[in-house]
Formats: sequence, C-alpha cells, structure tokens
Amino acid sequence: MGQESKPSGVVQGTLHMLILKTLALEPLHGYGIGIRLEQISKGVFQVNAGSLFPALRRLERDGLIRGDWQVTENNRRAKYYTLTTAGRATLKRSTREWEVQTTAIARILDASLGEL
Amino acid sequence: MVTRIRLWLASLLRRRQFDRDVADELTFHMQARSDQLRREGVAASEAERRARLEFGNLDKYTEEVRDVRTGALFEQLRQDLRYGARVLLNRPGFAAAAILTLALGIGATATVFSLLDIVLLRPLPARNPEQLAHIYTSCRRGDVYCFSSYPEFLGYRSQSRTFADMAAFHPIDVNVGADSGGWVGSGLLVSTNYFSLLGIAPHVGQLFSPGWNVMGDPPVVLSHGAWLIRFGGEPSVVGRRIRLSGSSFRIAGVAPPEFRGTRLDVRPDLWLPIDTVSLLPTGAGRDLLAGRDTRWISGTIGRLRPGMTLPQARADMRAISDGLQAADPEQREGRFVTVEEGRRAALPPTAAADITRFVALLMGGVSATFLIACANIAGLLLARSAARRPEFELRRALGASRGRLVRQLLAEYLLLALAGTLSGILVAKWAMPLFAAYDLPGALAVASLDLGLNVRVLLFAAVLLVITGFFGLLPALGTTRGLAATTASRTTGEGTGRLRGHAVLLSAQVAVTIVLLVGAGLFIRSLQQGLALDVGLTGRPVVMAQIVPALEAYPPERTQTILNEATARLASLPGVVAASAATRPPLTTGSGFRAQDIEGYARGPDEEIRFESNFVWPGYFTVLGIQIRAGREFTDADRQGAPLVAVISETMARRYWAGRDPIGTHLSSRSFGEPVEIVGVARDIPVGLDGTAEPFVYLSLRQHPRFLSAPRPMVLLARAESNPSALAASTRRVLREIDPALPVTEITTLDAQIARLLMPQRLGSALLSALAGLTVVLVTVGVVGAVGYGISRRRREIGVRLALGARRAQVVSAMTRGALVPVAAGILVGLAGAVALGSLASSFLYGVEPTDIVTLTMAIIVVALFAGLASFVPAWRASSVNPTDVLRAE
Repeated sequence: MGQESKPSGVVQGTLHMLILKTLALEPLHGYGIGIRLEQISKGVFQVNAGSLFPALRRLERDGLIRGDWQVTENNRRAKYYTLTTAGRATLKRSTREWEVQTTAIARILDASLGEL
Repeated sequence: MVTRIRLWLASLLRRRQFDRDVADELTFHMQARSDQLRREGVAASEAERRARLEFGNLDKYTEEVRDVRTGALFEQLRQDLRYGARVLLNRPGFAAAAILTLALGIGATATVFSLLDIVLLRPLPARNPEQLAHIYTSCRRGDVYCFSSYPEFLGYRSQSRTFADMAAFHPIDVNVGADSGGWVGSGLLVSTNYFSLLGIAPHVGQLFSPGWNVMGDPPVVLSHGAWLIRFGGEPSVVGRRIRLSGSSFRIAGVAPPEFRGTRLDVRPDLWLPIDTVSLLPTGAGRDLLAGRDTRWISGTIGRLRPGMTLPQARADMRAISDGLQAADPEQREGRFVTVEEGRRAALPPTAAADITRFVALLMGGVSATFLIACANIAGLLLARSAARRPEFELRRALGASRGRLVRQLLAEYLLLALAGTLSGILVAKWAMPLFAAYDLPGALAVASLDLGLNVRVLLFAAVLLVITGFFGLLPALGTTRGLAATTASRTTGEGTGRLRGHAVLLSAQVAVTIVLLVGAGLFIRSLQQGLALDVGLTGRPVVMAQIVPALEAYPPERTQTILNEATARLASLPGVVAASAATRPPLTTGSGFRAQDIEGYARGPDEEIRFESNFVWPGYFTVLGIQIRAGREFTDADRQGAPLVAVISETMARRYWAGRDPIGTHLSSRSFGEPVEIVGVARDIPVGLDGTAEPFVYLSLRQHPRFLSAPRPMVLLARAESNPSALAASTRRVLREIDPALPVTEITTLDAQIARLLMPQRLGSALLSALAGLTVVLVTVGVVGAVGYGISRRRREIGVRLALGARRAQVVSAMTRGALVPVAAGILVGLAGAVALGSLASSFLYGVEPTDIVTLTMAIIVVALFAGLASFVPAWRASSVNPTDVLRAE
C-alpha cells in the first residue's frame, strides 16, 4: 500500500463543500458531479477521479451523503448520491464559514495603508 | 467512531461485495466518460482508450477508496493481524505451544480467581451491601468466636445508636415431612426483620415481615434451590403446609436465586422465624428466647445508619458491651462484641483466617505460574526474533518505521494472547467443576459456593490479557532496537543486553519453579503424613449412614428400637459382614469429658483428667476393624441395668494406668453417674489429623439412654465384604422400611469421610503439583530456548574451537554454562523464597516443617535434572557438527 496522497486542507475542504452544494441541487452519480462542477465553474474546476472518489467515500463514511444504486437514462447501473440531513447542516455551516473567510481575505487583499 | 468500526467490520465481512461495488462505480465512471467523448465525435475504440488512460489504474483507486472508507489505522491493523496470522500459521508448533501455555496459565489463574471472588470479593445480593456489618459475641480477650444468648442480641439491637437495625440468625437442621419428600433440610432461624433489613425481594410469594404473627400460623421461606429441586419450581406451593420436625408450617414464599444467606458456610434450604424454635425438638421445653445463660445464636447481621462508619459502630458496640457487663457481671464476664465489614458473605468465623490464607496461597501459586508462562513466551519470542532478524532488516530497509514493526509484532502477539485467553476461559470453565470435589479449610465445600464464570472473572481474564500483552511488548521493542534503516549492521553483534535479559528471565522462572515445587512437595508430604496417620482405618469397606432422631424428638426408647432393628437388618443384608452404631463418626472430636477419679491413679491437686469419648453399639470395633489389645469389646449384655462398662484406648491406658492392668479397674465421672468398669483396651485411633492420639474412652451406648436423645447426629455403620458404596441404596431402603419418618442426612463411606478430613491438603497438593509440573515443563522449554539461542549465535565459535582442537566436552561445558549459571542463581533465590513463604503454608501442614529438608532437596534435584538435560542435549548436538561445514557456511 502506497502512502496516501493528501490534498491540502483548504482544497480538500473546498472540494467537500462543492460536492455537497452540487448534491443539494439534485441527486447525481459521481461522473455527473464532476461534469456539474466543471459546468458551473465554467471550466475552472476540473475534478479528476483520483480525488473525487476518495472524497465521495469520506463524505459517505461521515454520513453526509448516501449512495444508492439506480438505473440511468442510458439503462446503466450507477450509484446516485443524495444529501443527508447531516450533510445539509454541514453544507450550511461550511458555506457560512467560507463566506466569513473570503470576506476577510478580500478585505486583506484590498487593504491599503491609509485604511489602517 | 462507532460508525467507522461498524463499517470496518462490515468491510471485513463483506469485502468482496464492497470491492465489487467500488469497481462497478469506477467502471461506470469510465463508460460515462467514453460516452461523452463519443458524443464529441471521437471514435468508439479511441474514446474507450482515452477514458481508460485519463482514469489511470483502477486497482489503485479501489485500494485508496477502501482505505478512506475504513481509515488507514484500521486498514493497517487488519493487515497486521492478517500478516500475523500467516506468520503464526507458518509456525504452527510455536503458535500451539504458546497458546497452550497461555491457556493453561490463564485458565488456572481464572479458576482460582473465581474461588477468590466468591470467598473474598463477591458482594451480598442485598440493598446497599456496604452498609451491612457482621456482628457476633466474642469471648476470652475478644478473639474467640462465641454464640450469643437471645437477650444479648436484643440488648445489642435496642441499645445501638450506629445501627439502623439488626437481625439474628442460627442454622438448625429440620426434618421435612414424608409428604413433602422426606429429607433433612438445612434451616436457618432468623428474626423476622432479616429479609427487610437486607432488602431482599421475594422470588415468589412473601418473605417474613416484622409484624407477622409467626406463632399463630408459622411461616417458612424456601430457598430458590430447594423450591426447584424439592417442589418442582411450582409457584402454587405458596400457602401449602409442610411438616418440619413434627410441626406444621405454611410456605410463605421463595427467596430469590442469588440469595444464599449471609454466611458462606450456612447455605439454608429454608428460613424459619426465630420464635418458632420452641416448636422444634431442639427448642422444646428450653427457654431459648428468654434465657440469659443459653447461648445459641450463631450470628447477627446489622445495617449501619447512613453516614455511620465501621469504627464508629465498633466504639458503639464496645460501650454497649461494657454497659451490659456492668449490669450483669455474672453473665457478661469476659464477653465482647466483634463487628466486621458485611459487604460480603461472612466466612465461618472459626476458619476465616485459614480460608483467606489458603485461597491467597493458591492464588499466589497460580499467579506465579501465569507469570512464568508469560515470561516463557517472552523468552520464546526473544529467541525467535533472532531468527527473524533478516526479515525485519529487510522490511526496515524497505521503509517500514520502527513503530510499524513494533505494531506488527504486537499484532502477532495479540493474536496469540487472544487465542490463549479465550482457550484459557474454556479451560477455567472446564476446571471449575473439578474444584467442586474439594473442601476448603473449615470444611467449607467448594461445591456449595456456586463457582462459575461471571463478569468479574471475565474482567479478570481481560486484565490477564493486558499483562500478557505487556510481556509481548518488551521482546517487540528489544527485537526492533538497533535495526538500522540499512542492512549494513548484519555482521555486528547484537549486544549483550538481550542475553542478560534472557538470563534474568530464566533465573526468575527457576526461582518461582523452586517455590512451587517446594509448596507442592510440602502439601504432598503432609498428605502422606495424614494418610499414614489414620492408616488404622483406611481401606476398611464401611458404609456410614448419618441419622438425627432428635430432629423428630424421638424418645430414647424409640431410637434404641431403631438402632436394634437397623443393626440387625443391615447385618443380614447380602454382602454385609457386621453392623453397629455410634454417637460420633470415627476420627472426629467434640465429646470431651472429665474423670474425677481413676482407680489406682494418683491425681495431682489441680490435675484434670480429660478424655475424648464415643458412645458405641456392640460390634463397633469389629465393624471398623479396630484391634482389641486386651480384654473384650461390648456385647449385647452391656445394656441398661447391667454394670457400666468401658473400653479405653492404648494412650489412655499408658497415661493413667502406666503399666498396671486396667481390666477390671474403675473410672469415675460425674457425667456417667456410677463408676465405669474397664473391660477392654483398644488400639489407638488418631482423633482428627493433629498427629497425636488423644486419651479415648468408649462407652456402651445401650447403657446411656440419655445420649440417645441428644440433639446430635448418630451414625449407623455396616462393614461390607467388598465395595461399600454399592450398599448405600440398600442401606437407605432398610432405614425407610424401619421408620419412614427417620431423618437420614447422609450416607457415605468411611474412606470418603477420611478423604474429607484431608481435603485442603488434597486440594493444595493437587493444584500445586499440577502447577509445579507445568512450571517444570515451562522451565525446561526456557532452558532449551536459552541454550539453543546461545548456540545459534555462537555456531561459528564452536566451529573455530573444534577446529583448533577443543575436545567435545569442553565445547559442551562452554555452551551449557551460559544457561546453567542463571539456573543455579534461580535455585538459590527460589530456596530463599520457599523458606520465607513456607510459614504462610505452615498451618495447613501436618507432620512436616516448611523447611523440610527432603522436600527442598527433591525440588533442587528435579530442577537441576531437567535444566541439566535441557541444556546438555542441544549443546551435545551442537558440538557434534563438522567444524569445516560451519566455517564454510559463514
């Protein structure tokens, strides 16, 4: 077994939040989540399978999302993920934290000497 | 965390399903990607190839996903355990030996612990047991247990300010009427507040309450066991009337199964209100409840007021005792009150110290064995780690951290320890019934103690598991120490630290083995002494039936008729040679008398002539095979009205007749009325096992009808041609036919009775011998391991020595010295320990000193012999190698 490749905390946290947000809109399978993220971010975020699936597994393990096998429109079996109640709460909390942080960061970046 | 463990377990159990799910999901992902590529115009085969390429290694993801799902730690633990199991399965011999060693060590320890638990730990199944206290009257200087009179108990109860309440109890056998099965039950007379004081709730019906009119309608409470066995566990027995020793009682209720009384040696079948003692033969016509000089209450249990402590209660009771003495100096002279902690059931007061010491002794022996077993396994692991060093070096070089290697070794060991503990619990479960055949000191039968696995025993096994684990940690740390991340250090030595550790382990093992061998040896020797002592009676095929006519208040004439008939009918049974009866079973004491005068003996001014006695039926000496050295034994002519006669023992004759012929002379005692003529001298039979035979006087029971109605058991004895136990059933039948109401308590054999006297010695020698045997094996294995380990490290040196012309004997002695020095040191330490600990066992030893030279020598010889052989054989084999082979191999 190789050493686990750990994304940096912020990135990992953000990915989790983004996945939760996508699923808050509608239940999706893994591939769909990746596509949706790409679409919404207008191609800024490209999520590869190597980080997507471990992230999904973590969220499932922590009880934030639930996966069920369903049949797609193309008649293929796929695992669709839904947000759980705990997942919804986590999304709400992390969104609020994210806003506080981005506002603060934006303020720092905009700051000029005169304002201090 | 709980979810994780559940998922981990689920993933262990349903791994295949889980892996398939993951693979399915990832495959779907790739298909979806290639679908999209195709929609964007890429050719089908190219789309699939690109999707696969983008995706990368499918297996790698599966592995990663699995890791995430269960957490890396669990995954590693799973790997470690799996790898450990594989390593152990590769060496099944080692694994089996280690597990067996642990199973025996843990099993034996848990078994003895379950005994210790019952005797010393288990709380009474009462409400707030920590508030309870055992109270009894004590005599002399307050150090001798005594019975109390009922008024004394009432005084304690009414005057105490520290106790909220007190209840008195006294055991008394009752004969249960033939319409309820006809059996002798052990009853317990209790004051009516007994159950409410303890806070015991009925299993069925009602228990006594303080306000009950117990004399108007006498109630009885059944034990759960008696209810099940004697009344089929029928709830409808409540309200039914049963006859107890001639009086009618109403079954009020059944006690809960876990409640067996407040004293370990008193396990009642029935509880009766204390006032009803006047309805029973024992109390009829005696002023038991009001008499200040009739002391018969054997115990009291009290509940402290909330916030009161034991020292306060003791001070309180001391003041009350002083007050009682001032008010009634005549009755209270030299009488005190003892208050003891009552959280647990009380031990029999006269044997409490002996029982505690005995259990501690067994626990010590068994713990020592357990530690040896652990040390032995640690030694085995240490020796084995030498062989596995290349493996660890390789893994270290491949990047495993030391912590990871230690964890790996611990996981391996954990498997062994777990398997050992689980098998140990099975061993304990199997060994507990073996224990039940023995008695503790004070004739406390283990069988009556409900030995079994319970939460505390299992917790204790878990503690043993942790200790075992600690012994595994040390070799793991030692093995991985000094492993560099490269394999460069291969040829350098391993340091002397581990070698020294090995030697200390070995010395400690030998020392403990010596202590156990000496302990076992002492018990065996005293058992031999005991068996040699009563050789006068062992092997006699005699069946004994204990009857208690007094339980049904039989008048002396009726008992006499029964004895006449029973001895005659028993003697005519096929296979029976002769039958007789006596007021005491042989080999017991308790009927001491004093003589005022012996014809021809000059008694000193303050001299007391004391002797033990037994009132016996004609034929007694024939039945038991006690040789008559002079004169004759009793005949049918020695009956009431005829001159009183006696047979004395040789010791009695030696002491008081001193060479004169006792036959025809007289002995006078106020207890017998007129002087008694000595008609015979019988061979000495030791009384008990204290070694010396006491002066003994046999009297003809037919001439002393007063002793026919004493409230004591009597024995009927029948001598069989061969196997006496085959006669038990026909003996019982004969007694039933003669008198269906006759209370028969027990039918046993003389040999069984003798065996019971030596029970603690038997238990001690059986257990300690088993332990000593086990430790000898363990030490032998340890020595083999130590020598083998040394040889494996010095193979090259052996080769060089032989090549340089060393003789074989020199090589052997050089190789064995490394093991035999620690063995010798261990023997010395062990001897010192055995002598120091010997005094602990001395009160259970008969006719042998703790420093018995034979035992000490035997222990040394056994250890030296096994250790010598264990070191010589591998050394001899090692010295037979061809030097050139060894040198070339390096």
